[in-house]
Amino acid sequence: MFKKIFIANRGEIALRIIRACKELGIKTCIGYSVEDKDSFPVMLADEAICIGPAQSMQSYLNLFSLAQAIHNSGADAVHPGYGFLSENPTFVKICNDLDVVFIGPDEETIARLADKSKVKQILKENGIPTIPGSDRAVKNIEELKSVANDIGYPILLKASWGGGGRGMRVVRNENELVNEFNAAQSEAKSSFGREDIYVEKFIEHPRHIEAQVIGDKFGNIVHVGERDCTLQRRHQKVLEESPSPYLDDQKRVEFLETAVKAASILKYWNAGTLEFLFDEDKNFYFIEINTRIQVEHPVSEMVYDVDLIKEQIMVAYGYELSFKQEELKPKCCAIECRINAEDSEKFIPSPGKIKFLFMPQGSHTRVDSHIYCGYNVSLYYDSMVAKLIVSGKTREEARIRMLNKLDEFKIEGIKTNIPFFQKILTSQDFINNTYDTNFIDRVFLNHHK
Amino acid sequence: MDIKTLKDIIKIVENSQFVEFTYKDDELEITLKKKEAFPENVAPSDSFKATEVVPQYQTQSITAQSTTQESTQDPNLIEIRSPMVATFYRAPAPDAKPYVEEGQKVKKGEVLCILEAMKIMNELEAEFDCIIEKILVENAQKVEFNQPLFLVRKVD
Repeated sequence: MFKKIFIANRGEIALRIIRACKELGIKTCIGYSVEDKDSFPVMLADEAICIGPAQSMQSYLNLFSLAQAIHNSGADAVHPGYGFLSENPTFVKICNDLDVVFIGPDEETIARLADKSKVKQILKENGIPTIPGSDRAVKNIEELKSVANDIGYPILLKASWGGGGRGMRVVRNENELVNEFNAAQSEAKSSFGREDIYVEKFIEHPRHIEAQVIGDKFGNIVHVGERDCTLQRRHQKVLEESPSPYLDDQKRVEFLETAVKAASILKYWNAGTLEFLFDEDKNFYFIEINTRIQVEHPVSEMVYDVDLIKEQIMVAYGYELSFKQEELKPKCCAIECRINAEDSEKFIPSPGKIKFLFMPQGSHTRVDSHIYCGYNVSLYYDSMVAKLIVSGKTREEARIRMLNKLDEFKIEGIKTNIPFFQKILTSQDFINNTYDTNFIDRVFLNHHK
Repeated sequence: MDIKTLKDIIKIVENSQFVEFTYKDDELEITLKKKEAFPENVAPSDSFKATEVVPQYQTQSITAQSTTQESTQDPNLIEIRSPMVATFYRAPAPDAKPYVEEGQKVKKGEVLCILEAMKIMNELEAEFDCIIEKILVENAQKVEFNQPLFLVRKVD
């Protein structure tokens, strides 16, 4: 097994990785920015190397600094967490050059799957349903007009090299097309460095349901259930649940088998997530594959009683997957709320020092968080301070339990979106499962695309 | 130096975090400077070339401007901190004389040590005239960003 793993991340996911390493008897070394000097993962790791100042570009995204830190640490593997460099083929190459194992799929796989429109094309050719749209980035406005007329309005313009729900624009008719295309191109260029835009049919009341998969180097690949991530605010996930209340057993089986088939076609291994949109007739369409562990992985871990991070490490080392598909059975319903340091009314970030903290406890409750009383929540990084995950025998039991745990969660010194979750979880749309991805924007923010 | 090597150097510096680079040999001295701030949206996947292209002993001079900190007791006692993750060397080569010793007077611009990262030897220069009070790290020690390397006394 690996002797030492270098953690190229911060916050709750760094802590999560340290926990998995401890259970496997692996030493940990974390690369941290000056801003994170007093963070809990830095305290808990066996070793820590300061890699740069607060700004992510000069620390957590600084390839040069991380390369030297990984070399200095003597680590034999690197876990990149999520975000930052977790899907960066150059970073994987650097790890290879340093003779250090990158915990995730290999460089070739990540590079191959980075072009989202190309991935869709490969899957479409192999019979996996994909959203109607352009097969690749559109070259010009004429091609765009032609594709739009073929698939029919409304359409969605998306950045080929984008992600995280950013840089997407809905176009409802041909009059809007030129302006929206130009705007989409410049947004894509400034956010992701490349202006390539591809087109998809826009589904009006979509459900976003994804499949967790994990594979080893021997070609074994399994799904670990689905997660319904329909509740989003401006395309950012806010709450996730499993199993999806939108699917009956038959549809679920069909969906998960399709997801595994898609992952096999893409020759995918290690942990990954395939995202799909469902329309009102429960037809599903592949959107994209995320070649990393995701924020919401604890939902699947709770439902299926697995440890995905440990599994990632083991398959990266060269072991076979420790479970077969038939051994994986859902044991409960789980819901996760992403607790952010933000004003619940205006959704603006609320950094600051935590003056009082009581985190929910008790059975069927899991909290993944790096915060502590006295901790300074930084304005340099994303605002998520904790993930609260609860399970129940039924969805309703999980919903009630989540409301109780949100009541227990007391934080002073920063504002959080806990009141916002209390509203969602008591809304009729959530209880009756009649929400779509626009629900939050429409009901809570009066924004509707 | 041939034009291809020059082009390669320019590209490396462009893609690196350094804002200033000087090369000097018997025939040629060139200095490259770029804008202080990083371009806001440099995509992380810009190519990283250091291990492949850079010859063994290419040197560049760097300054520790942003990382000097004053000692709490004496305002003239200043900690010079590392601007990067690196390996610290006291001398330009294994059997050469160290750049500085404790007690030595150093002038602005003189080299204090080598910080080696990914086979690039970076010369850390003094930003002001000073006396080396204490050398805080050992030769060949691995150092991190912001790690104190020298305690110096500023000289007016």
